[in-house]
Amino acid sequence: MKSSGKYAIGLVYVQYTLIGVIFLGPVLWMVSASFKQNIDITAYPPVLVFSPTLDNYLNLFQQFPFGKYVLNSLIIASGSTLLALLVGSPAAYAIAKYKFYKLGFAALVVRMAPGVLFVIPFYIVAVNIGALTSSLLNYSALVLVHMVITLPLVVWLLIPFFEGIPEDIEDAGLVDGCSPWQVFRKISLPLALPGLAVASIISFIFSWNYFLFALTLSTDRTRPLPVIAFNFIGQGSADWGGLMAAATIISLPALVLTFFAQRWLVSGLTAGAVK
Amino acid sequence: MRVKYPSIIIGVVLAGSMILTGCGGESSPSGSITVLAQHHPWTTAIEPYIPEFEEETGIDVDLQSFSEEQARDKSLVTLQSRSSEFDVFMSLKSREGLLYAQSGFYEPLDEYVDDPELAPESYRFEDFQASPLEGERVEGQLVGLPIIVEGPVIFYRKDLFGEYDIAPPEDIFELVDAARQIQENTGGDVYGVAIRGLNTALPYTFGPFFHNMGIEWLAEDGSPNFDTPESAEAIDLYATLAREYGPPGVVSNSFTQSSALFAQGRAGMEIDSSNELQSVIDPESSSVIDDVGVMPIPPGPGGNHPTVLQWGISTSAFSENKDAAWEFMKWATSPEMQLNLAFDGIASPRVSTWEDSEFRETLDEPVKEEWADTLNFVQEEGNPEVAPPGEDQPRIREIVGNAIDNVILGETTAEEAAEEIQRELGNLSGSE
Amino acid sequence: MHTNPTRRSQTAKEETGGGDTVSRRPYLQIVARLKKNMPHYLMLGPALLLAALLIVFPVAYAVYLSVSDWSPTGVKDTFVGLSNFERLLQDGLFWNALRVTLTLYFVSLIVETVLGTYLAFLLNREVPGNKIFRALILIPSITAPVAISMMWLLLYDPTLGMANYLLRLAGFTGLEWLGDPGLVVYSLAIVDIWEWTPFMGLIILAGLKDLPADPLEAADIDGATPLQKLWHVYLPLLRPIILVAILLRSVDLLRFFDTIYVMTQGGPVNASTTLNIFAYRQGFQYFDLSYASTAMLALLVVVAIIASCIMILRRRFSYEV
Repeated sequence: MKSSGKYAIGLVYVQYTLIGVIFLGPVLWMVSASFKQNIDITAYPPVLVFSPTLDNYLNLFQQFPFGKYVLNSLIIASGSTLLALLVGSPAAYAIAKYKFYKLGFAALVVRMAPGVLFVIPFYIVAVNIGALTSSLLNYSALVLVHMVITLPLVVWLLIPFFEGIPEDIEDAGLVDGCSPWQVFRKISLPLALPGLAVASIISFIFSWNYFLFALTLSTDRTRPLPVIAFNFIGQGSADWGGLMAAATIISLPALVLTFFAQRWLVSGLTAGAVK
Repeated sequence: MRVKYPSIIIGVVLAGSMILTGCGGESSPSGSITVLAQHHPWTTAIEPYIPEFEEETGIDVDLQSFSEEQARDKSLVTLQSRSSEFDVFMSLKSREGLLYAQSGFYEPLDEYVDDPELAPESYRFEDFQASPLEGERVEGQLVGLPIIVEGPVIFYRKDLFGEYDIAPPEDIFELVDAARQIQENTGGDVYGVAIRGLNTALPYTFGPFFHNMGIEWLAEDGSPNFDTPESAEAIDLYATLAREYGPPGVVSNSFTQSSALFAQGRAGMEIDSSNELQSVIDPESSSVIDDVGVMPIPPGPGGNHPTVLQWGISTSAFSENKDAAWEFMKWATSPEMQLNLAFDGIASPRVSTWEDSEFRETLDEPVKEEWADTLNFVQEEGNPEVAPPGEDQPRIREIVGNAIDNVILGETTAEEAAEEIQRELGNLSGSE
Repeated sequence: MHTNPTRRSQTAKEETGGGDTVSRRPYLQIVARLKKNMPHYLMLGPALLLAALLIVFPVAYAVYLSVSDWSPTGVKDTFVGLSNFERLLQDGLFWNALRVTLTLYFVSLIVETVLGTYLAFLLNREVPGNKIFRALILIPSITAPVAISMMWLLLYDPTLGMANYLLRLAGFTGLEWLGDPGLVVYSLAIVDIWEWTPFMGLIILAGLKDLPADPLEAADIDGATPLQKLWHVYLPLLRPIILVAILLRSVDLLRFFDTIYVMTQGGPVNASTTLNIFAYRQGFQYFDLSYASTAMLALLVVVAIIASCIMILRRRFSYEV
């Protein structure tokens, strides 16, 4: 939607500022807190001028093998997102085309159960297949288990996008001699690009931030990032600065990915292709 | 299917790391143990010494540390599945001791400490103070070794006390009065006392008030003792402190908030665990370092019975490497190690540590001396029953905490709260 | 979004083609149908299989636990029938938790959906810098929930926190955000709204981007005002995607846990105990896994019911043009 006129554009920027302050204000505060000493963080009235310190970040890197944690999170989140995309996009397509909503609902049920429901059964299985002693099995287990989170998301986010693809285009493909799979791959999928972008971003983020399964199932080697987020508040020390620094760092990779993937949000192909 | 560009990179990374880690796939060799620890000053203090242990004994130690709730979750899941995932773990006997012991999660240690080879003279088992050691016994059996003692104490602002001519309270009624004076004299800028209000955390600091009225949690016949006038009075005292002279929103406060407030100079006193010393004198978080004093909770009409608590480490009954586990436990709780840890501020459960001259020298500041004296007092006189005894500790504590919270919120009276606790606790033990 | 009247009649035509004796026709029909739909079953298959794999075992285990009497020392009674469920229905705390859950749910959902839709439109504007803004605005939804909870815990502190500081600056007295039983649910809702509105906005934005141009152009030609365009063109077209966003968010909101766990642990005095917290407490703090499983199954049922309602709404709306 194009905006015309300086007035309209100005209004947009005003809204940007307002919304920005509300949604980004606390975040900025959090990031600034990561550069403060603890005493400045809890100070009241809140301090605007303070002596910045890198200690929180330095401590963080000293205390934890950050690189390893980031890599683990990356493996698990991207693995489960990729697999979900692989398995979920055809499923979403089928559901959209043939209105298999009831079956689609079944795929969503996975997400309806409270996370705690899964913890003990999965742990028992994991122990019995040796997933707690082999890193390879462990990563696989974690990726698989995280699909509880990513698969329903992917499927349900893609359905409306596949629904929105006009029949005519796909029929044209069939007429041209494509098999249903080819129609899916060559026609439908590209047209659902905004959906794919959204699904992968959201899926990745959710999986990245989820700590419950990782808490019980990961080994020291495969431990992902969010598990350490809890370590900063305990008896005798409330390390707000450390927590804020950790939070900032934990959020960075997800932010970077979002930035890249959101380019695929724009798809002007639909309108053009019909004509 | 058209694969997106970033996905390719991710795919490669994924495949690559899987191959790499697959090559390194480890099994658990003998001579290595896993320790499940909690984020706690003790863990931070002992971690640097572990390489020494590994060198001396050749045993590899995998120390895994989590926040308290997470560690508890993890230990429950693991132990319930009888998994040998970890060998040694930190355990709060006052909370889960009875339950875990009855479930057979602990490896009984009496054999180990009685065996002169496993627990030689140099280990000085008799050096442990009575109270913490008793705390590590469940139904007569030793299921753990104490690693740190703590108890509720009062941190107070000497400067404020001096400025407003308030004498350190000599009994719990004077305590309430002192809180009032601080709050009134500072026009409400400084709260009288930062105290626990969070329901599950409350019993810990409430205990001394209860006991100092001269009553135990349970009466002679084993029924709860909340049908006594003293119990209502204790509740009333505590709730008054919290409601009138405590910070707003006190019912959600635990040590985190209390220490933050006190360290920022917003509370004249803080009643919380002795472990909070570090929070209140750490220059990175406190602006009141020079003015802090420490004292035990003053006595009441029934005497002086502070609550004392100890953390301990235990061996998992399902460990596959109990010998190595014992070696670690022995090393971690030895007189030498305990002394080392004491220099890092860990309150030792051993008598020898406190008597050590070098250690006493580190208590150079008055605040530290007072802390040590207070702790010693707590250890000697301490009552290890943090909350009314029973297998269902979490629920018991919630019952007590919720009832008192209602009084703090002004929804019920102290008498009604006492009745409610009496009734609920009775129901609980009836249904077991 | 578009109806497929053509699709329907096509299949009907194929199905009625060719038939001999009555007894053979159904068989041929089935085989023919299978062969034609095979690709589509194959497409759906793996996802369903995976979902089944992941959910069946845990739910079965939960059901097993909920009809037995579990204790850490092992299972005491193998079958206690529905007594756990009876106990649940008679438990005042369960109903309280249900009420808390639903209140939190509706308040958060409504605000998030409305704000999210607004946000989507705002983000859709083609002004310089909107791409950066789009990425930045997502940050609340990206940041680890644990960190967000702790941050808001500090913000909400009645004495030291930003929230009351700003209130006092504006001349109001501070509030006990988390300590007031009547306020706590709304304070938590604020956190959720702050955290997830960008998420909703993103989804609806994607839907916005995907809209066909025709109806919009037609409306313009007809001389519709922006408001009319919004109400009669945009919103109906966006309904499916909004409903999906609502569906996904609902499933998560009803299981609200992380924030409460960190900030209030269900207090004060159970004023913020949702069903999930209730179940967690039973299982991991009271170690009563049987009762906890019962509660978790109840939660599952509640979520399923509400999700089905949304699905029905969705089905109704997707037949509109």
